Amino acid sequence: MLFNSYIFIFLFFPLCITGFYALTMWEKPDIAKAWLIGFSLWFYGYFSPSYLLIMIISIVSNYALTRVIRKHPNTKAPLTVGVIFNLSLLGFFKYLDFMISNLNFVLGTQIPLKNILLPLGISFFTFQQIGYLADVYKECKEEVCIECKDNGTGKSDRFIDYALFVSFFPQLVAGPIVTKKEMFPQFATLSGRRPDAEKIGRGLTLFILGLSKKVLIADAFGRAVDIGYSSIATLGRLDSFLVMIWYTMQLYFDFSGYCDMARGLAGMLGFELPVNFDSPYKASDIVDFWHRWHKTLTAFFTKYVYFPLGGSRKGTVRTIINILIVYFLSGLWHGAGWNFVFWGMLHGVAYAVVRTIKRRSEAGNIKELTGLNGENRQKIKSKYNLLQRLSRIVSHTATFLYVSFAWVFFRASSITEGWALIKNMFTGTSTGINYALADAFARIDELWYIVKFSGLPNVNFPLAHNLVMILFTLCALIVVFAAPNAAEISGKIRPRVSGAICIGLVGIWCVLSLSEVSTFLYFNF
Amino acid sequence: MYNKENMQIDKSGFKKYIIILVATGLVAAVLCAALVVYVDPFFHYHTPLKGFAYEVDNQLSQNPGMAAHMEYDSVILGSSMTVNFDTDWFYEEMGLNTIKLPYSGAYPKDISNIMSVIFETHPDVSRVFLGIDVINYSSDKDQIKFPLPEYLYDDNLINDINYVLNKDVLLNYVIKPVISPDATDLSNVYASWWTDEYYNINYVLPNYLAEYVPNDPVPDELPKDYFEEQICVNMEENIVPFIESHPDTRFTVFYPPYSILFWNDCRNQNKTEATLYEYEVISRILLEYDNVDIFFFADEEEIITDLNNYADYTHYHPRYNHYMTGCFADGTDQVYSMDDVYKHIDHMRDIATDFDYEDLLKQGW
Repeated sequence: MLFNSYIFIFLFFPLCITGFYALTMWEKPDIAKAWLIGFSLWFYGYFSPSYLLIMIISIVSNYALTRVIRKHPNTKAPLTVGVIFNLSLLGFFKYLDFMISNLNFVLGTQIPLKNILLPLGISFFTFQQIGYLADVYKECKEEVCIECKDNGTGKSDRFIDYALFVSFFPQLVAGPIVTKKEMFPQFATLSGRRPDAEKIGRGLTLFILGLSKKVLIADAFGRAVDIGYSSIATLGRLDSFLVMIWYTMQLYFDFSGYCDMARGLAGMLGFELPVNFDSPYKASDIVDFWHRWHKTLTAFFTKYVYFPLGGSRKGTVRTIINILIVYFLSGLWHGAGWNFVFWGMLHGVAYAVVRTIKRRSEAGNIKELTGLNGENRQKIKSKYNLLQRLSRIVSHTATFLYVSFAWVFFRASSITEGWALIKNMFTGTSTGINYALADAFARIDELWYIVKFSGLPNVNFPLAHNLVMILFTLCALIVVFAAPNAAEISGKIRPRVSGAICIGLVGIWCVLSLSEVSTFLYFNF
Repeated sequence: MYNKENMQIDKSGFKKYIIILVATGLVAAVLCAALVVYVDPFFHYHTPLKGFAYEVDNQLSQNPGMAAHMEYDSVILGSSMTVNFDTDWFYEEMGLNTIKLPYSGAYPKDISNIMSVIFETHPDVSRVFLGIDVINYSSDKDQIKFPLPEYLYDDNLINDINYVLNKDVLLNYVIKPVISPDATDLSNVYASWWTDEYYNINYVLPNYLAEYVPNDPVPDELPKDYFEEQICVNMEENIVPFIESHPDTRFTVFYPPYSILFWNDCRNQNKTEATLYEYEVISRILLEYDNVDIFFFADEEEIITDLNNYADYTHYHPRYNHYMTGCFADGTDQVYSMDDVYKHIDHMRDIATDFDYEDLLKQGW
């Protein structure tokens, strides 16, 4: 089931939240948890009932493994088995065909691909469970685990909590990836939980803002991007550049919109999920970008891969290698293809370079400033401020362009296709914008009215379409660069009538956008 | 900044905020849905409102509603080969109140789907004009050209939410016709966009050659009966049941006249005999029924050998739709027996095998 569907908005969630609060107010926390688990299974099974079995097996197996870890805190074997089990599950469903095609390429074999259907969200719930196993192991090692001390008889995470932790529908299929520490304390406070008007109001606002990011903005960019990527050979320089920027916009509004919806839903139920996107395109450099983009994944890799590899404690070279390993894995996690690995490595290399430069520059600045007297230090600081402002503008722009450039390979079906688009930006024709691309924006229903009332169609129809496209793109760019993000807006919004009406209207506009009239080209049969 | 007092105000304020937000959404949703149901641009609930400038341009979404709620006594079905029929001609030539419900690229299942709606709501329909594209009748029996908006084809009221709360419907089919009325003339609905100048060899041939790849070497000839089994399945599952269960309805089936380029494709794929045999198989099945007439236009030599009559390799000028309508009225080109069918097939074979394709194609290279 999708958040952006009629069934979710009009049936699933209203039923879920009503039953949930009825149970918590009745002081039946376990039944309330079971209620949420039941709804989560419905949510997940709605995509495909066969997915459910895979998720249930994964949950039960991992829970059993945590019991083993707790009983044998002095050996790492159960944790290793758990990690291997989870990665194998992920490997089988996500990477088997990728491995086979690579084998076929290298060895010249013709092993048929398995075409296994990838269960939705498997990358998320697998990583979340690996994180959980590692956390339990660490707790046991540090002897903070009550159960270990009590030799397996004391209190520990209960199965119902664990099942809810993994299956909790708001963050099940696309994150944010949550940790034991973030969620379990919240599960302990269900008894007597009453609906909190402020949390529900802010959550509802965040959900609607996220929904609008997805269905009103991301999907509009998506239509143009699809046209662009399906006809790369015909794109000119400007076309190719715009397609790159539009995909950058689409991905952000889509993914962050989904996470906003997830946080909004959880918030309405009284749970807090971590922020996953913090205006990432406002980043001043690539290091900053990764502190703002998909933060929970970055946190996962930092905690469970980068630190265990030694982090930055083993010298510059080893730090760089560790960074590259993390981004290699991050690329692979995002998709089973060399284009994803390439995308990951583009970020890894940039991250390592920028991080190294920043460290040296910071050290140099401190050294320079500490060697000066008060007056000179002030002068130097002013000089730096001016320079910093200029360099920040350059740095922001360069970061955005580099990130956009890397996204080309993320969206392309192969590295070759990605390069074809990049190459077009420099060697393509320099004529105006491909009409089909501009037309993709003119097909946004609302914009027909703008075009119509602008009076431009009577003068110049293509110009009107280009104008609509430019306006839409510019507005989106302003939103990502200058406006507060959805989390900030929902966090600060005051409960005013005008605000409620506006958000209510945006909400219904999104609902009206959930279904489209199917249109196809009827020219040939 | 918040202080404690503000926090308290906000707590109670948020209750009001939620109520207003939800109420705004619900009221707006009800209003939108009511407007869509009232105008009903896809004719899902009722007949058209008098005086409203309905825009009809979406076969998938609007055909089932038109089939269910409009008044007619005959219907034109088929692929894009039928979109240029003018239903006024059917009134002038045969006195029929006809509705046109084509599906571009229609497969037999598409025809079956719309016939189900037609016969459920208009069991007394007197004539069905059905254009048959033989090459589509060897498809899987459940294949449809485009995914259908199921909510417009079933009786489930709940999934109608896709229709009544739909921005496309509201903006393009309800509000836009009010602001910029341009009512569709139903007699000519779905007509192709090609204007007269497109029906020209100089337009057709370069476009055709841009995608034409001569097979070298020519593949082995397809067995004559290669498509037979699947055609029979399609006819039995998707077409014949309607013919059998409505003996009082006259089914006028016709084979459209594709241009010689269509037969060049058959030649290039070495399937000319297999294609000709498709006509034979379908005709043999249909001639079993007294309520079926068959018209064979595929071998209209003067039409099909002149590319100035076409806008692409199969789509002919609307004047031939008019010509065919006249034939339906006066019986020209009707076949009454398998002998008649064989004569047309033999004629078609002669045209297809004797035509100087190389001479034609070199005009476009």
